[in-house]
Amino acid sequence: MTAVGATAPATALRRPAVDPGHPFVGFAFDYLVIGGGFSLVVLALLQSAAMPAVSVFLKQHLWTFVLLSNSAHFAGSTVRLYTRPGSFRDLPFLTMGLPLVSLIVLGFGLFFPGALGQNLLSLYLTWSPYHYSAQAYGIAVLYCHRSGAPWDEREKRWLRLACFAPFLYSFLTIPGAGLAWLMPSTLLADPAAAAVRSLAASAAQVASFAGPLVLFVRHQAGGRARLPLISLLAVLANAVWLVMLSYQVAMVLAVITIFHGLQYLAILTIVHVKERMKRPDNRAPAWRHAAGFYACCLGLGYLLFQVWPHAFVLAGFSYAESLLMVVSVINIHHFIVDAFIWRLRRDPSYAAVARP
Amino acid sequence: MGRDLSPMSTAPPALRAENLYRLAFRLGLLITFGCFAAGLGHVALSERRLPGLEMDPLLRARDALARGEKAAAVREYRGMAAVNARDLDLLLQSAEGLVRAGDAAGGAELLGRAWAEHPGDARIHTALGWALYWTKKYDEAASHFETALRADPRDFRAHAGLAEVRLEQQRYREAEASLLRALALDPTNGSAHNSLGVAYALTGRPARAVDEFATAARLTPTADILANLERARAESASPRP
Repeated sequence: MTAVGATAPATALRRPAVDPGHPFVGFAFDYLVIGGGFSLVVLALLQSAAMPAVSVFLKQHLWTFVLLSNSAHFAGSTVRLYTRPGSFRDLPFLTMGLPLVSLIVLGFGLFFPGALGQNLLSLYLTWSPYHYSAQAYGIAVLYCHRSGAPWDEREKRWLRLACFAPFLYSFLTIPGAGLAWLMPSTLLADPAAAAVRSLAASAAQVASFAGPLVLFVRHQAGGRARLPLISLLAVLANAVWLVMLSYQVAMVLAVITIFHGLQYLAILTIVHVKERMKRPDNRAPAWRHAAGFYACCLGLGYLLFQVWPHAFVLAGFSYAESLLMVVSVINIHHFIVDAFIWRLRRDPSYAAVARP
Repeated sequence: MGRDLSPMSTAPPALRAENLYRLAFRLGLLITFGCFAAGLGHVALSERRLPGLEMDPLLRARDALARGEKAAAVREYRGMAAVNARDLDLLLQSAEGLVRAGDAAGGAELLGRAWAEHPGDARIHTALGWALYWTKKYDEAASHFETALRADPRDFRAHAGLAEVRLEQQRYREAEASLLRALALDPTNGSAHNSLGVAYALTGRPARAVDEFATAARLTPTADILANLERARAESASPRP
């Protein structure tokens, strides 16, 4: 027995071969919702066409699911921003300045659809897969912390690279966004440039799946702090969403956004409830905090996506322009807010959230 | 006293920034809630309902077309093309919509733009096929759909378009075969189920027609589809001569 082994606590010696991760709610919920396992089942059914009834059911209720999950998740970042203690003091521009800036940009986008509107749409479509990958990385790291695994910066960098390979693939391949938006089409049509782009996309495609798997195996075999299985699932689910499936096909895209929203709402609600339960004056049970938070997200989501575009129709714009501009600006606002509210290391509630 | 006051010299800029932030926040809140009230009021007064759960940017255009309000449809399709010209699929849908709404020049301009940016793309043949279908040039439409399908046999819209052409040409068995291929690719398309129901009804299979119309009605409960379902149910229930 080595010196380290002799002094190690007995629990450390009896670690399971694979760390499943410490769930927030329970293994079934965490693996299916936060890890994205349920999305893989549904998407496999959709892609295989094995059960057409599932596709028909989803199509029938698609917009209801989008409202309950995706619209609510967009509103969720805003609700979280304004209910987080000290937000107005710590983030004055984000809380008080950004809404007006967003409204001004929205107005200009509507008045100048060719010059600005199109670019806002392309910006949101480019940023969206980055946001998805960042979420997968955040979830993976969160479960690592809950497992008590001390990851150094070098290991985190590898994990980040593995998580962002799907974004790179999307950036290179999405029509009308990413590289296709930033580079002139004449240059992209050049055979040499097209070959390089295709090669890079293939490499990113392989890296999206091979990266996290290699990292997982290395950590299992190398005696390092282990990547929990649920972290691997979250990263691979994101790779399936962005790489394996056609991101632009409307139905698949909508289903992916539903599951991304569900994942986001679950984590956000857990953070919110844990924070509220810690308050010394708290009297309410956890479910009431969760229900209240979700009700706010749902109400705001409805107002933002279903009601707001009609205001611009009243002002003389077409519904198509209004909806696309509103969706673009809400997305960009969400991405910016999200980048700040998840800086958990600086957040005093982080320890409480990450603790198993 | 003077010394006590001296730190105040640094305070005004910070205060000014804070006041500006507060002003911006109030203004933003006022505009946002004003928009919510305007949006709710507009739908409630003009359509006598609350805004629904649709988020399809072309929904209003299709509704306008269904009501025969061609000018409104043209406005919607043009608005769509102005904002979303980079998405080929939506650009082509706008082009087809413009042709269908009677703005053939606008549709042709969008198709030309699509061809210039994506020369040889099979989806443009599909869109051209639909544009020709709406202008009742069925043989030319079929030719474009077939070209698209040779390039991409998984193009749902090309199968569906070819089926519509065959229905118009009263070649019902060919229409049925195309629709079955289309529905194997996307079983959630209400319009294709409806067309398949029509093909079954016109070839003397009312029970199958009822099933297809019923699926179509679940997916897209439009007046046309519901009327088809009712008629097919009546035919199916009536004794054969």
